[in-house]
Amino acid sequence: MAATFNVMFDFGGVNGTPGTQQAVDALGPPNIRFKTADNATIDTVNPCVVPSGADKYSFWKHIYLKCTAAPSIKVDNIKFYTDGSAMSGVTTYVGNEMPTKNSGTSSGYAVATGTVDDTGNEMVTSHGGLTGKTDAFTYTSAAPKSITISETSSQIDAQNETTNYLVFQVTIPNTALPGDRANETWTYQYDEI
Amino acid sequence: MQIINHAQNIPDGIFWIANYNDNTFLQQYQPTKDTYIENKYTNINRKKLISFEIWNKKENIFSIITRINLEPNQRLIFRRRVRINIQSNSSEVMYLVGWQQTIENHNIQSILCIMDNGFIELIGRWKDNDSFYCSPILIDDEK
Repeated sequence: MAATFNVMFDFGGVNGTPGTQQAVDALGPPNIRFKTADNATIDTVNPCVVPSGADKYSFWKHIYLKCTAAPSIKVDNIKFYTDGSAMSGVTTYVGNEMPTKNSGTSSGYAVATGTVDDTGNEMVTSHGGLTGKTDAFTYTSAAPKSITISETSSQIDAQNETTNYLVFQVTIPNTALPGDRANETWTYQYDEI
Repeated sequence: MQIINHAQNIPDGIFWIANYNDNTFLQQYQPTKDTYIENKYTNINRKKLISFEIWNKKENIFSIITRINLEPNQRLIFRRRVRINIQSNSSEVMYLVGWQQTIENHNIQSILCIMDNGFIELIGRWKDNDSFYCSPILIDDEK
């Protein structure tokens, strides 16, 4: 039978042990909302703040794929990409590294920190598993981000196995205009046999 | 059509049949009296393989989608490629099926891309500038 996956969002808890591992398809659509709080709720509470001076940030988010029905042999060649059309006035970054997440550990998980209703802490500075970040919307179907897997043989072949984390954060400059942004198209792609 | 007794026991959806040069075959889902067993793609005997078929089963109606006839030295490639839209919960499935052959140290391909909406497209090589048509990670029998 064909494999199935959930897109997951880990939040809360402590470093290395998320409090909640949330399947995002139960939340929306839309399934993910950037805010100035560390929760999965899709609402307009805890909005990102347009600063008068230095940049402000959303709280970062740890996103990954989790296998809910195993493939016949394996799933690999996993990619992430966007439609290339960014949210206006702000920049959504994805960490260059993919901190460790697999069926046995969440060791790469770092609790999102910051001041609720004001700003998250900038992720490269504050997330111990990241040393750089890239505008997520530079990853497109023509130039995707290859996703790493920390399971045996760097492939997914059993239920509950996962990809490593992608870590996302929105940066809001003082030039941003207030208001909701349109929903974006983000894609995970994988191959199965 | 080589589906045998109890074919109604195999699951609905896309499945493959590998046909051999001795008039035998291996099908992905082998029906039994009460259920089925699944054969793996890597169980295909490529030394005997002469064609590879993609079928669809829906409400006990079987229909063939395509047959790939393989010449000597043409190596079968098959994948189920899935795109998940993170924000909308929707997904899109494409089946890649075709062959690769090495001629004078160059690999050439002929790959059918079968979409879940019924659209079928033929590509003559992997398109590394497009994730949906790029090469999969090949297993040894495909390289």
